[in-house]
Amino acid sequence: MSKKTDTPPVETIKRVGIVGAGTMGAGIGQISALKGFQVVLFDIKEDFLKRGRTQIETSLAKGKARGKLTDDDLQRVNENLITTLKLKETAQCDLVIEAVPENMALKKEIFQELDALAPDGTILSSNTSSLSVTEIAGATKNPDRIAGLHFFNPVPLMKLVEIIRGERTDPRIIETLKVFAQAVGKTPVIAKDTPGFIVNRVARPFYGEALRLLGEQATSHETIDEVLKEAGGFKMGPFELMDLIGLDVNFAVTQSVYEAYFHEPRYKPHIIQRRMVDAGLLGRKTNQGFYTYDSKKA
Amino acid sequence: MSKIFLLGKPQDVITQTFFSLCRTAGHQVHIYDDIDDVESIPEEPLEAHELPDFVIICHHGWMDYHSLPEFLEALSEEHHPIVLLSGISTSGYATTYDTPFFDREVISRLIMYSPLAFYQGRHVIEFAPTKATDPEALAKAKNLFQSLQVKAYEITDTPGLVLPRVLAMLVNEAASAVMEGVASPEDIDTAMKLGTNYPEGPLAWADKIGIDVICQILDTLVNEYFEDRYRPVLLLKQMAGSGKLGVKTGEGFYIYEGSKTELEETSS
Repeated sequence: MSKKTDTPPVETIKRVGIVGAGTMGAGIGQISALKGFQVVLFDIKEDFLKRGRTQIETSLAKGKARGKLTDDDLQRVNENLITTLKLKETAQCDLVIEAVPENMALKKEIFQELDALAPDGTILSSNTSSLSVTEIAGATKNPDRIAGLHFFNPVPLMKLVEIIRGERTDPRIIETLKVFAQAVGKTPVIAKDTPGFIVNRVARPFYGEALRLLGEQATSHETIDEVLKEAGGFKMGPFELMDLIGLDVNFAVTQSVYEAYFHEPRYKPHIIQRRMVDAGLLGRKTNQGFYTYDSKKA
Repeated sequence: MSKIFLLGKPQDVITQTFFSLCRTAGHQVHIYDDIDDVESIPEEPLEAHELPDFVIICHHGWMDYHSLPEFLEALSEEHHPIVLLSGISTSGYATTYDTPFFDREVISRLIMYSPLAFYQGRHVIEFAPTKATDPEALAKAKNLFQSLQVKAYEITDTPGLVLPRVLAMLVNEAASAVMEGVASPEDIDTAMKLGTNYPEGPLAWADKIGIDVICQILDTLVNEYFEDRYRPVLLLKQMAGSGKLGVKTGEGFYIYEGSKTELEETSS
């Protein structure tokens, strides 16, 4: 049975709950606390919370060393951010941002719990980059208060936030999230819940066509990268980017968009991707992808 | 010093860029606007000293130049210019086995190239000899690029070469997202610039190059590969068909004030 409530969604965000203290969750917690929001960061183990805190401290120290942050900033983050092992505490916020691994079953479970624990007006959002917000919301009793809020890695540096409108998302939430994204120093864009949203969809041909050119031996991967940088003005070539992102991650995103669009040929993965993933040549993290990296530097 | 004929519209970025690069390099350069227009074809056969060493076809839709083969043949009777063909709209078409557009003599001196970077003010080109290009002609073309001080990358003859192919497919994808109401053109461009560091949003970029040119690149890919993957999305074809070509007609994905030049000229 649907839990119909007349409580309108929160309009002004003050307290932000974050589920998952991994790279993304900790990053979102950091910038939110820095901009004056009260942050409640949740994870299931003390170790994970500790790791999240360490990541934030390291990032802040770097910011300070570069002269971008002051002691006041560091202190503010410290005061504004608390960690917890109780999901209930995180749910007692105006906005909850889920940032757990990209696993649909896990996300559905978490949103069901959050939906039951959170006060009526609370907005629930997911930082998913590839899963359907509509599907996540469909597992709860109040799909209208759920939206996507997709930050990019590394969160403190990347300016973009994709706000994802699920099939049943209340339009008022979108406006509130827009204001929140701007308040944490980001530029929001709004996208309908479709596979890959904007960036992960529109960027597919950058890799897909480059892989096909390589597969047809049009030229080397180095030349393709160089032409796109020199002739096109791209900061990084597709092969450099795949190495940076990780060939496994890039392949997984390609496959998920391809599957989600019922095998639309534009999104078809390339055999080169699979071979390299099979061979364990994943890019920078394994010191070998399309390019070879110095293990001491990496 | 070489003698160079440019075939293209004088107001086009590609023609203009080649013109100024040729002049700077001290080459003798002449622009032929529309060779299908009888008046621009030299009536009298050109004197030997007037014949070009290079003919650079700047116009992307060169298949529209129905007299191009005759034009080149007329130039080639005694003298054999090297022909650089804008390969962003076609490539294999020029050398296709059943209905060759050019005769073998021309093809042996044919080199495909892409000047797409000129639209962003970058003096970079990609070029590709055909499977039948004479090595001597290729060497001369390389010397020309060097004299023009453009960065030139040689690749294998491939439909759309590298940048035109990748970019046209990025535009196609962005246009499909617009068509399906995923997001506004502004938000798509913003997302690609901030989310993945693209130098320009794909839709604003397409407006600069021309929606018609993007469609030509995609048509080439469809024709060469016979694959659905490359078909231009309906929105792009409709925009091209209704004259919403981008900056040059004053409207594409965005509106451009005070730049309605080419459309008015062509429709008058």
